Amino acid sequence: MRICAIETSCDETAVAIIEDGKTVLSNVVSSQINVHQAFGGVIPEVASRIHVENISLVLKEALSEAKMNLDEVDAFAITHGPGLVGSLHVGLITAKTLAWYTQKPLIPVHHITGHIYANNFVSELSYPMLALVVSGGHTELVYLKEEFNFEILGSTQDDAIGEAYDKVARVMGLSYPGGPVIDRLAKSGEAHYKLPKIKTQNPFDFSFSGLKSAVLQLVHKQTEDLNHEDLAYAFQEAAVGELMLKTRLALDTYPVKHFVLAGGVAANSRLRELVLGLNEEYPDIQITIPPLWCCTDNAAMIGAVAYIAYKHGVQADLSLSANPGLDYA
Amino acid sequence: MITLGIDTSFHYLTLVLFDEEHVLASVQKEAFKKQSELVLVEIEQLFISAGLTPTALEAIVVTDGPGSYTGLRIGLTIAKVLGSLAHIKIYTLSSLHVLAGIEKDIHVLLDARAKRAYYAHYQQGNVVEEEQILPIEQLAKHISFDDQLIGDGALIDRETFYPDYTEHFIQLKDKWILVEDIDALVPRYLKTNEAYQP
Ligand SMILES: [Zn+2]
Repeated sequence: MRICAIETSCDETAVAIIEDGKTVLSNVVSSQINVHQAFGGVIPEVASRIHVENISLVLKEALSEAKMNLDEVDAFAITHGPGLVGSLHVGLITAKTLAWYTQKPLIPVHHITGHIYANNFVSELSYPMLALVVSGGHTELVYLKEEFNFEILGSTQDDAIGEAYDKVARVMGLSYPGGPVIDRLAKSGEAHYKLPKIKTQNPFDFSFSGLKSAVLQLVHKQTEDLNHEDLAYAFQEAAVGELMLKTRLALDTYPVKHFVLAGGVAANSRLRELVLGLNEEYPDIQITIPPLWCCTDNAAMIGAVAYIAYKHGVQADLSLSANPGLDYA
Repeated sequence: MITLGIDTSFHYLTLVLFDEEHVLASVQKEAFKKQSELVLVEIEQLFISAGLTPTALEAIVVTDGPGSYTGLRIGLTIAKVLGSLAHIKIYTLSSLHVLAGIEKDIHVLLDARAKRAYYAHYQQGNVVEEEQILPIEQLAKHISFDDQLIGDGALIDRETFYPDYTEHFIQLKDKWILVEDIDALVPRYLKTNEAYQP
């Protein structure tokens, strides 16, 4: 089954053709990052406009890379939430138009489930599975008792981890997006600054606003020049440490066969290192991290999960609408 | 030539399926902020009631602005996708012009928010005053009481009136603009062009 997947939930216009949820026939992503960098964040109206500019080119490129005609596509998959409503609309109209014109099924996808099932490109997934989802909009521990069955064990009570990185980067006068910059600086940093411990009510929940405030205080209080490398190190160790702490707790509490990392922040080098390190502590649990190309938003992952969703009977009609605050569990 | 007319630029979702001079099926309904949800459902319905399959479609004439940004992107995205992948000819038409049709002498006024309105003046399908965005205060003076008016007249203490304009798509055939480079097609947002100086 060849699925043409479309993803426009934020600032990437992406189309991919995926065969049987596993084989990437094409994966085209047109990023707007350079435009939004100038504003220090994504401007929704600008993002929607650029999606309209790019959509036909990206579609054509995805089909030609896969050496396919439109009528050889078996189904169309679309991210219908969560995300920016204006951006979601462009992809949604595209997918609905194509599904109608070709009279093929339309498969609605929750963006985060795409990130989780991106790991399907790396290895066969087994259940029960635990996923640590880390991105600019999400930070959560998701338990999948069986295939395509999602239960959120805990989530962030304030900022998402990616958001926290962006905010800290801004406070430190670094560029947007904050994740890669802080990750790079932290590599040459040392333990020097002390940041407070994080507390949450639900043991599986996360919180990052306290860390952000602590960094802000340090920046404001400091009379001599702050050591950026050391501050980045302190923040990264604290933030990533919080993720690992809650992950371990979940792995100790639930019968997990497979643990996967998911989302944009899965590209963080320190987090990848620590997650792979879990192997020694939990030798019976299979551990998978997504390939770097699949951490940023793309449509390949949407095609991967759409195949699973379709097997589970998920299909939408042409009245499908964008849902910026869509839930999946 | 089986052609689909699409207008999603303002309050309405207006779709017309026609063949040369005859309307095969059409719909014009109030659908503000519901256009994205309804548009493909209605298109599908139009083809079913005309007894046509989607692949019978040969051309699209779509309003490309001015109007609601979100609304314009809906019609334009459909046109871009089918124009680039299904080799369907794409034509554009002004969203104010399509409301005016071939009326003898008509002013079109549509709310652009922030005390401004989109405005144009047409005679028998020809442009007398180009579409522009103007302060409502200024338009109230510009449009005289005897002038025939279509659109959000209430903005200047006149009657708000929208005609059934499904037939206008065909009547204005000589005003359609063929889109040569489909990938470069984008809505004419108008506001960002700073078409007016305060
Ligand atoms: Zn994402």
